Amino acid sequence: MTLSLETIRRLHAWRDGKPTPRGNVLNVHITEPEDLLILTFLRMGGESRPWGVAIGTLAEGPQFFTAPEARNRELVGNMMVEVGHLLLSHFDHPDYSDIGPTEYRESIRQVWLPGGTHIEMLQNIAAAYARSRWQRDDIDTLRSLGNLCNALFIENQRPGQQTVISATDALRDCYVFPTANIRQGHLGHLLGWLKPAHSRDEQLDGARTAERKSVATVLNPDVERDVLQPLVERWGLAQKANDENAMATAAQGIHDALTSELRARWQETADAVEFLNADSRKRNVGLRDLVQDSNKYMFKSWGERALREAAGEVPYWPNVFSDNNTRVAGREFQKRNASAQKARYLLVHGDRELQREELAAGHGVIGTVTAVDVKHKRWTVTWTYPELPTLKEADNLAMAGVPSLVLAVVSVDLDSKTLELKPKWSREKNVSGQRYFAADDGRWKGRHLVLLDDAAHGLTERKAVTTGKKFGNDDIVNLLGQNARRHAAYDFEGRVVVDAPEEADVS
Amino acid sequence: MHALEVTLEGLGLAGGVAVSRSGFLVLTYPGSNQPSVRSGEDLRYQLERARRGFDLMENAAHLMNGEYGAGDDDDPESLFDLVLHAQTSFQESCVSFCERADACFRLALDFGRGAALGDDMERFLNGITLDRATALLDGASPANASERDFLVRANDPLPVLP
Repeated sequence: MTLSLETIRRLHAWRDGKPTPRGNVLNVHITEPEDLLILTFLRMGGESRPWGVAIGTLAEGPQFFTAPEARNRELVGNMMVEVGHLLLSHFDHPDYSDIGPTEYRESIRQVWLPGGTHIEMLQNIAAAYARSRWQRDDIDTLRSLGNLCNALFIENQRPGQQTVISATDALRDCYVFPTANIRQGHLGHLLGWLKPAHSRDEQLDGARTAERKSVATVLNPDVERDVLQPLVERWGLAQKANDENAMATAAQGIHDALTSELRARWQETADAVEFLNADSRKRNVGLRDLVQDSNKYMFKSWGERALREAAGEVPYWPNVFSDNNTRVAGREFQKRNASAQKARYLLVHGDRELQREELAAGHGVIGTVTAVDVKHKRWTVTWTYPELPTLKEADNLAMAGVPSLVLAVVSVDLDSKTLELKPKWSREKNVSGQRYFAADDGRWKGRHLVLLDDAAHGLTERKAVTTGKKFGNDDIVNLLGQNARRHAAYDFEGRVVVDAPEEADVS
Repeated sequence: MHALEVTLEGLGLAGGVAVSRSGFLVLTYPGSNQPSVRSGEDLRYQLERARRGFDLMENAAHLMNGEYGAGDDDDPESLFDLVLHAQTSFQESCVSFCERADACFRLALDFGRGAALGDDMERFLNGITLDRATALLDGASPANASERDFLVRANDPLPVLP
């Protein structure tokens, strides 16, 4: 999807005066209500750990956990232990569930969050607890919570995954909103656009009003300053005076104020899920494979390790802060490329809008079978779109909507716009109730076809494995190291002031 | 530090009071509430960067058709008024940091500027207002080469599938 294409879609949505559906299918999986956990956070300004958490499945509703003082790590730790029990049991951690994690599930355990800042909080929690050496009885729960949050944060970055869903991203995947990209990160703004209204101006006003209320992990500054700050100060004074009644009263006030904010965020996320659930468009058939893939990835990156840990082994948990070396970073980069290609491959055959995008990018052709060479089992296809496809010899093309019907490109003639193709099936095929002729059947002649480039994600997966390998001590990657830190006296142009010390003296 | 120096100079106290060139930083590790205090930090270089930034801002203010740099510039109310009524160029990024973004967005929308729907829309419309673009999409005849070009670009660039 190119930038200008997205701009054109937004302009048309503006003309229509409302968000317009993106394509004729939905490309986001929504799991069963009891498997769909909604998780929202609040943090105190300047702090990185949560101040309050709302957690609960769509079926059961939210539970709220708060700490009266977000700067007190003991209190926050106690709160996160309770949250940890719920999150770990949702993902079937062996110590917190009777079932244990498995890659073979019919359904998928999902976690939905309102938006980007809430996903970042997963990493903050991982940073705080995954490798903590804190001396407390329930530290194992906190460590397990940290490792799970790290796995969820990493999984969230894998293209096509269906485990960790940002509500704003899901809505943007399914609709084109007539509003600037930067505003589309606000869940309330998007939901404002989706509310029924009489005119575009009314919808715009509704969306802008909703936008004034924070949905992020931080509170609106006036709420934090005018409502919560006095309560926190009162709690602090009561604690110093050892006045337990006053502490309890202030803590209840803080809990009530935070709960109201958390409930709003939880409910807006639930509204987004319900809205997408009510959408009458079909679900992309490729989502089934993406869901299975997500279950497998989550089991490999987290479930398997959690099982080993529960069995008393010491599994390798990835570092929260770094890939540690360039070789691992390269491997992970290629793995994500492969995931992006695979997701595209799985979705494109079930989504005609994605097929049009692929063709516009030159990754396939619209053409007619002009000849069928029965003897050599070869077809000649003359294409009418695009002007210049990105195809080359030995590429594979799949018939749109039927990924199992693959043809190898034997030759490409750009002047006459013809392709010579060799079908990779031979006998007649029955796919999803539809009959397809044998490859050498003359009835293929004259058929109009959409043929899509069959992205070789398997090849990229192998490239990832190769990238991660060390080829002896002369491997060029061994030469890559961290850049030296630069002293404040120097910027990218050199000395900031004339009398700055020599770089060698300060670095 | 630079603001302190400018203020002291404005008050005529620069000769009597010296601003220290060193300070301290309070840092925390990600996910930790434990502060790490680094004292004795040499802040000369940060001071120089701030001075350059202020100079750039002053130069920009001088470009406002002579409205700044002459007359009643010392009067806070006049300066405030000058800022409130200055011409603005609303961009998408303004939303993330500027107090005035809301007012500027409303102005951009009133003038039909594409920037109200994002920087990419402003570039795409190439001077055509949103109302006019909507009218063109609804079938109005293009009045000039720019509008004809817009119509070519705004049509759905994706193919029709058989």
